[in-house]
Amino acid sequence: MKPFDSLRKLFGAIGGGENRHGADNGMISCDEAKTRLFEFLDGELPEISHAEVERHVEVCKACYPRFQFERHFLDALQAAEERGTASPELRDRILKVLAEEGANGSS
Amino acid sequence: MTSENEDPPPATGGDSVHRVSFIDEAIPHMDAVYRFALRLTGTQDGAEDLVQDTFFRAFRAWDQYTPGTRCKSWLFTICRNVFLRQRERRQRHDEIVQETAKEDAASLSREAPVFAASKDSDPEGDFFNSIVDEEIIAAIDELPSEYKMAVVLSDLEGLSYNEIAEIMEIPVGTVKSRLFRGRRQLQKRLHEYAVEMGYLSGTAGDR
Repeated sequence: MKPFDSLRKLFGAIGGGENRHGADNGMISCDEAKTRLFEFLDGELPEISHAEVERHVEVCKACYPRFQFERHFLDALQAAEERGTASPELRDRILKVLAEEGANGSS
Repeated sequence: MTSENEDPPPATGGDSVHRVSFIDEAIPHMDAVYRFALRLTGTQDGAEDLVQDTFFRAFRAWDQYTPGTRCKSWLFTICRNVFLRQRERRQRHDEIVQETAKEDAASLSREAPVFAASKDSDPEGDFFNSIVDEEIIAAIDELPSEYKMAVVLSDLEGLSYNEIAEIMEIPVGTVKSRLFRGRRQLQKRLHEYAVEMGYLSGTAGDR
């Protein structure tokens, strides 16, 4: 291994280029990180895999914006839904029927 | 809690303990079920009917609910089933989403056409924060129903892939592909909207 290989790899990762070197520098490739991206953001990855993606994104200039992009998208979705509520009339109607069903017993 | 020197509670209704536990555990999820129903039916009236049917059915089936499991998830399952049955009654076979064989969830995650189109002007997707909630909801409502269901359960209601798989009665892999495809379509629509509104300067295609 040439002395500057590891440095080049490091700069490849943080310098904006795609990191294709994969496992030999202990870092997953951009492709792998992106493949797991949604599962990562959804909290669905096993611990080790999650940590690998996290580590990649922290230092990869190419992937970081994509992750932020997806995160902003998902945050916007979540924020949009917060308010829909069942009307008090609907709630009362349901509770009333439940009370009647409870009082009348099983059919 | 069961008392041992008395008969067990009847299978349906008829018992106030039964009702009280239902009111304590299921009723608090009514808003979430309502929001889900609203997305499925698209109208307030339709959603109210669906919520009502869901809760009546859930109440009658309360004995089948396993305490300690996610009640919200259980209610969503019932809601979906009631909805599908209602829809079946109303129409013949509606748009059934064509699953392009096993649409590859990995490639759906990897490729991001909307990100690619907007990354020069807005590399981190800040435009999503400028879009009003109504527009986001309208875009969700436009999704094919099977994608919409996955997106709503995951991204609006915060359920896990496994929970969604159970509710929708599909494998986890299919949950992922529907969810990711739904997200992609949604991003495309929101991106178009952001360009229309001037939040984003034209797309890559304009140059």
